[in-house]
Amino acid sequence: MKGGAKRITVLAAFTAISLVMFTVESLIPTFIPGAKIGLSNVFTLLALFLLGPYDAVILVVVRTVLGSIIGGNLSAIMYSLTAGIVSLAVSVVLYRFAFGKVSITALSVSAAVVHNIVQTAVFCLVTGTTQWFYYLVYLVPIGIISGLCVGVITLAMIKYIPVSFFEKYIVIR
Amino acid sequence: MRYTLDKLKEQKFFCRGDILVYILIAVITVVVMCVFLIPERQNALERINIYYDNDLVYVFDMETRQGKTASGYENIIAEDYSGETIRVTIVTDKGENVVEIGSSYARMASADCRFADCVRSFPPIKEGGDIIVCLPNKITVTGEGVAVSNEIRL
Repeated sequence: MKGGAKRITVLAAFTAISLVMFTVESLIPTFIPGAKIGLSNVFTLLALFLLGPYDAVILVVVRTVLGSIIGGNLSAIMYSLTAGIVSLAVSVVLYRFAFGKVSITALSVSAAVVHNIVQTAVFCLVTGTTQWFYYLVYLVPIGIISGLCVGVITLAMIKYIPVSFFEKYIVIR
Repeated sequence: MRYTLDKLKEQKFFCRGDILVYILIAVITVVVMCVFLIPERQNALERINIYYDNDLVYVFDMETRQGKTASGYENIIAEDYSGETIRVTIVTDKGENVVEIGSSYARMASADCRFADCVRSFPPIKEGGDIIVCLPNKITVTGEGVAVSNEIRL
């Protein structure tokens, strides 16, 4: 594997910070269940851009499984993991085929909206309650806002953190 | 497929292609709104249904202010009519939930599941179609009402 120990260390650091953000955010009460900014996804995108799609998948799986165990809500793995993987797939496709034509912000918004739709769909299938689809009316706009926040923060980090820092600690050559 | 750091740093907050992405998202949003908002939005809360593991275990009639427990589930449901609001306690192998039913609403008053999302995050049921789900304890509370579009007004 290219990068060896450095790659694993960087991925572990990204996953750990992402997990802390995921857990802290899940403790903040919201008016709509499942609605949150999703700041942990900043590190999903950074892993995708700086390490590659396979590392991003590992990050999403580890964060979701550990986050659900820590949160004591194992059933959340079903819909959070599915939504996380599908939204990451959308990000990978846009990054692979439209990078440069589509900004990181738009990529993040697309992933967030898809995440909320898939999560709601799986939740409905699991609980057998189709009424829950009604909450998409709130969850889609919330996905747009959270996607914008995550996209802008990710791009700001890439743009304004000095190249020397990335080269020394993060970028795998 | 990884791009260089320099290429990433050249990225802008907005590209032309974003317009297409945002249009697509706007279309999805409008479709979702049309599918779920325009059709018969229920109101006039008539009944509160409580499900355990997808089985209907309790029904409360908002008009007569009386509840009925499904046969076979009497041992897990307890009603308390002593206060201004009616409190329905559901004790199962998964845990304990308390549903508070007021004059025009129902809410999850307490739940012993960790983080209690059903208590903190779900708004009270105020009209037909509203729902509260406690996934860890497998309890679902739904509001049932008359659809506005189905009502005949003279």
